[in-house]
Amino acid sequence: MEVVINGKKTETSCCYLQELVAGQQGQTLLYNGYQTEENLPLQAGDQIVILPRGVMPDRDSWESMLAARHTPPVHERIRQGAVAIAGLGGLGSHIAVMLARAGIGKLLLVDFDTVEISNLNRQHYTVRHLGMPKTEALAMQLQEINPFVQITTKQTTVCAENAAPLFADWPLVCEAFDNPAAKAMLVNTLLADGQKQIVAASGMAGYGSANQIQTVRKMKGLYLCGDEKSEAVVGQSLMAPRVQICAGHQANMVLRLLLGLTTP
Amino acid sequence: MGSTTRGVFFFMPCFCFIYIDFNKKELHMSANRIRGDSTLQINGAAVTVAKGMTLLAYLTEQQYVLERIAVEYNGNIVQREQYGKIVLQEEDYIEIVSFVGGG
Repeated sequence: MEVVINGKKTETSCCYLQELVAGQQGQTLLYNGYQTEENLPLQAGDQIVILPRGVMPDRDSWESMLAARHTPPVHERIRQGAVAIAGLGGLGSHIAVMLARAGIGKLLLVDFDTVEISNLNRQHYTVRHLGMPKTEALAMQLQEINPFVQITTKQTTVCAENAAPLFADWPLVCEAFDNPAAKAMLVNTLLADGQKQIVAASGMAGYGSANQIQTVRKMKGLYLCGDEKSEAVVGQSLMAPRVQICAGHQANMVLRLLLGLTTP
Repeated sequence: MGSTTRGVFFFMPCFCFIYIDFNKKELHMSANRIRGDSTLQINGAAVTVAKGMTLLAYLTEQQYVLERIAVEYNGNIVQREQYGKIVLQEEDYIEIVSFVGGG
């Protein structure tokens, strides 16, 4: 029968998985996307990925790992995907990490700021990144999570004048700013021509019920994640869980759009 | 009065009743016309405003902070400087998103 090993069609007379990979100890084994050590019966067309443990594989093995995990058509569409992230704080840094893990093709990372100690309560940075531009600190981490994602960085303040040219080549944009006026400015500017899709966020401060955070399609080109109420104000600060939940909503909506699904 | 005429007068109220019952929206719109109001959809709910009210007047009345909102008017984003020029019309559909801080 014919099975697919690391993306290559291979003829085998083996009937069981362990028989097929015998003599390849110390390997990570994915059987139709699932990591397993069981001796499962093989069927024609099974996708098997064998990866060396503890070392970085080459690009083909990496791609076949993601294709096995996510299924080949899903992986292909995400790999072709390009997403811009405006603001690299608690939302943007986590959105970028999740999309890199999912195997996104290209990311544009935009932020004017540097990493400060007050960011570490919720943003995807560590002590070693203090003082670095967020664009650089995040790009560094993403390269370690997924070395094959193509990253473009812009260390700049986004305003009504530069937003349109800055995001001109990026049809899908995540709004991940902190400031409400900046959020509104980005949406108003980028949706003016009716061509873009924006996944924005509003309302994720504090520790209210996580179940209030949701994704809603507000406008033709605008998806909004959050509870739309919980503002970052004195006495209600931004905390890691709700900010990351909201970032998760945004990243998931991005994946859905890349996969052709337009419902929230 | 002939029997046909009497019949018409007898049945007419019944027809009117049916007409009213099946045309509540129509009736609502005529009432609006008499009173000078407009009923439109704002954020998915029916809202009645005074005829001639501008989008800017509505947003100000509802105490929206203009720097923090995005408005989709009949399917298209409108910019802040246009708010004062848009007069709300019967059956307009409007979506107003008001952003709160945090990210």
